[in-house]
Amino acid sequence: MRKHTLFRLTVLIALFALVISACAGATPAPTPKPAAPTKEPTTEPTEAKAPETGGDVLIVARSLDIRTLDPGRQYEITSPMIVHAAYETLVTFAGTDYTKVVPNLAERWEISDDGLTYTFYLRPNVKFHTGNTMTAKDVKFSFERLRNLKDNPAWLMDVVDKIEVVDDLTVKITLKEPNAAFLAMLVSPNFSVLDSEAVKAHGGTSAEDADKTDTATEWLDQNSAGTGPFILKGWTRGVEVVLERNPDYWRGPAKLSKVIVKDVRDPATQRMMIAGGDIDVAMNLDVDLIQAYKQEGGQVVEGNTMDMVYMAMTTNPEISEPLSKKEARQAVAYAIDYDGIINDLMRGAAIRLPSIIPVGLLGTDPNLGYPHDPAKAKELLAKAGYPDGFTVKMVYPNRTFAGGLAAETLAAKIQADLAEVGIKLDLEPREPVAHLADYRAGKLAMTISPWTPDFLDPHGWAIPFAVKGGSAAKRVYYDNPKASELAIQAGKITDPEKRAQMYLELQKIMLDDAAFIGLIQPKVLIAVRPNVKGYVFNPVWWVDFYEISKE
Amino acid sequence: MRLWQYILRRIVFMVPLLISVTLMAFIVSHLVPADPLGMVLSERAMNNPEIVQAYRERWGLDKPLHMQYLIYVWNLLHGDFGDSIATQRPILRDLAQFLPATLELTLAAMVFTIFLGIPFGVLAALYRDRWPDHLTRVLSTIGVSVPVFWLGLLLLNALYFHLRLLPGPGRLDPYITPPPTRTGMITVDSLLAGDWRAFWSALRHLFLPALVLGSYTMGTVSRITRSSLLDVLAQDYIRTARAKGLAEWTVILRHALRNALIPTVTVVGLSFGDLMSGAVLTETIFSWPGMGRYAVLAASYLDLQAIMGVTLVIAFTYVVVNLLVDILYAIIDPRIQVGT
Repeated sequence: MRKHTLFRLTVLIALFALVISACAGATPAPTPKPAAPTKEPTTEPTEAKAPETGGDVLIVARSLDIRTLDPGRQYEITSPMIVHAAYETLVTFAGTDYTKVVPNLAERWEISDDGLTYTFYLRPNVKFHTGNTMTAKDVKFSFERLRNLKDNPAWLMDVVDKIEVVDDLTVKITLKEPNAAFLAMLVSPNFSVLDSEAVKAHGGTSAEDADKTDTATEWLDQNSAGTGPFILKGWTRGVEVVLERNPDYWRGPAKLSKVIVKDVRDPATQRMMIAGGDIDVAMNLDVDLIQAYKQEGGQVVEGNTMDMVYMAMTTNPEISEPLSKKEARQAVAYAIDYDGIINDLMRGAAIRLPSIIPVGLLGTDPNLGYPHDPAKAKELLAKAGYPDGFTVKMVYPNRTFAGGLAAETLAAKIQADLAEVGIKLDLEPREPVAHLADYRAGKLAMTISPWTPDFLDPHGWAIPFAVKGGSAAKRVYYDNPKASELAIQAGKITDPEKRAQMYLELQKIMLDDAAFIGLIQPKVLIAVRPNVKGYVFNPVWWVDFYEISKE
Repeated sequence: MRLWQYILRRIVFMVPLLISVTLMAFIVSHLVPADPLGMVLSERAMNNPEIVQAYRERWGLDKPLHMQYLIYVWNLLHGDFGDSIATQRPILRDLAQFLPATLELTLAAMVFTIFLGIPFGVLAALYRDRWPDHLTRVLSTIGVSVPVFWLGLLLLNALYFHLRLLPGPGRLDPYITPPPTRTGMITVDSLLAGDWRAFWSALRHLFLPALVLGSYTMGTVSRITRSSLLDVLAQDYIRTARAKGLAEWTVILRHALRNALIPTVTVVGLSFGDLMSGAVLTETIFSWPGMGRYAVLAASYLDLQAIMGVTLVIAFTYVVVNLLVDILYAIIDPRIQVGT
């Protein structure tokens, strides 16, 4: 009898396994006749084995942090990629040269001698996705809406005094005070030109009280009112964004007919998807996964981000007595093995960040930073009155920085480096939220932290880091009147050569003060299928889909 | 007390219970020493008092804490969960999008839990210390002890990447148009729309994440079923049943298993709540746009309303499941009286 039961149960389990494997699709079970036969070809098209991504459709996988696709509100890391595809700005950068601004929707512009008035002459006959023609009133509407929404990026308009429509194709922008970075700021996707009629028709307004009365965001999350090469067809949160080619684009239609950006969080998952041919681009692979992909003959696109990871040390004796001495901070700077961080921890996927302004911008020099010199560090420690070193607490955010470097790994490396010269680090990891709160409040003696660009002009770094009370400077009580003055002046003059000189001098002063030490500027390594051509990394909008084609 | 009275009373008690859950969640969320504005606004925006003020007003953060809570509860009692600062839309719309995905995944994981866990347990008990027992013990130990993210990646690597038996992450193949949303569960929606191609794709996509998610509970359920069935099989009435000459099959299914299932029902019920709230890692690996990922997003933005919304949904699930379990007891075992 027992044998008998075993047999029955075995049959039961076997049946069950059969049902499951049928679901799994090892062998496609005879598919029931479809209700809509027009949709169903005789062969099973969803069958696994290398599903082809269509000829001119690009599928991208990335961990997305999009909160909104409204150009007047978005300020997250990944949203510019979508906004840049659907909208355009007055001016832009050409390729990877971030030191010079070139025409885009504005054919040319004039700057008044006092540096206050910018007159833009718009390109005629540029059509929005709605078919309306872009004119000066759209520019005025878009920029004033950006200001009055009082959302995350509204501060970009702080420098602007007023915007006047001169005629249909001329718009005059007056600044409150001269600002050398203004053109670079205008490249930001937040300064996209929107179709004012379409936005108004969906509840948008540029009035003073737009923060309370504008209701266009919900529509703009699903549709685009821009002039860009792609039209936004929809965004499903946590799933994907779909863009379709704009057939009437003024520079001629894009080569890709469709772009799907999928929200895929896990790098290992992305790696499998690109190897399996389900996606064309994987944007979040770490160095190991990239190496594996490369070895299989994959294409890897490399680019320099304008992101950075730096170390901050307080100058306030109440927070840390030893670190308030300049020599002690310099000793820390000499003790760090920068090449070791880049070559061992990041396996070369970063460049050395010399100071607090990323390499590639105006007035930067890759060779400016501290060398690794433990002997010099010990000498400086003695000078500071700590021949046997000292103990200090380093609080760091429990997260992974751009480039895939875990803060924990970096902190441990710095701890080991400093131990060699006698400085003992007590490490304390914290949730990023809690870390940032204390760092902002100026309570931390020493920390490592990231910084991402707001716009690509050194002004965007000089002001927060160098000026007394600046959003980064105040966290370590950094106060050097000379640095303050240089940072402010360099932002006002328009001569690029002279500005470059001033920023170089500023960085030398700040390096000597050693309140902030540049550590790394991560590279971006993107896995791209070999048949995808023309993929170029951009630090603001990540990639320009218009330039891409598939073979 | 009659069953329906008991159910009614339990439902009425749910309201104060859930409100106290919101109070707990509110207090715990505010113990984090950070300003939610700092998580959404950039450095630059934080330096602009006008933007900060507009944000505080927009998200109701300009009021004192106790007022914020009272307003929240007041709105909640009127069916309004508030707006999410992370997604910038009503929490209810967010939940309507993310909850069905998690529910679909959880229900599918429950299928594995019940239809693999219980038979495994029965097999193990019947063939104690013989190979079926050892085999199911190994399987359930793997299910319980192997971390979900590792198991998920391993299975994806084998079944999707190398063998190409199953599709990759996501809920549908990229080229299939999703069926019109009615329940938000793609398998159900595609059936309702009569779209077999979408249904097939959704089912194949569902298989692996559900198996991975259900592996832990499958392990516990099979172990619990085994030990409780062994207990029951040693009872006198089983001997009596066998002595009557009943077929072994009947003895096991009708006499033993029914009694042995009572602890199993408890575990299965609770595991539903665990599955719902524990889907975060599975959802991450399989790019499943569910509530787990929504909760992580909410936490990283210190998005109070969303955190409370998710907490409420999970608390509600536990409460309802507990009620269902109690009712099921009464059905399985007539000796158990509800409400006493």
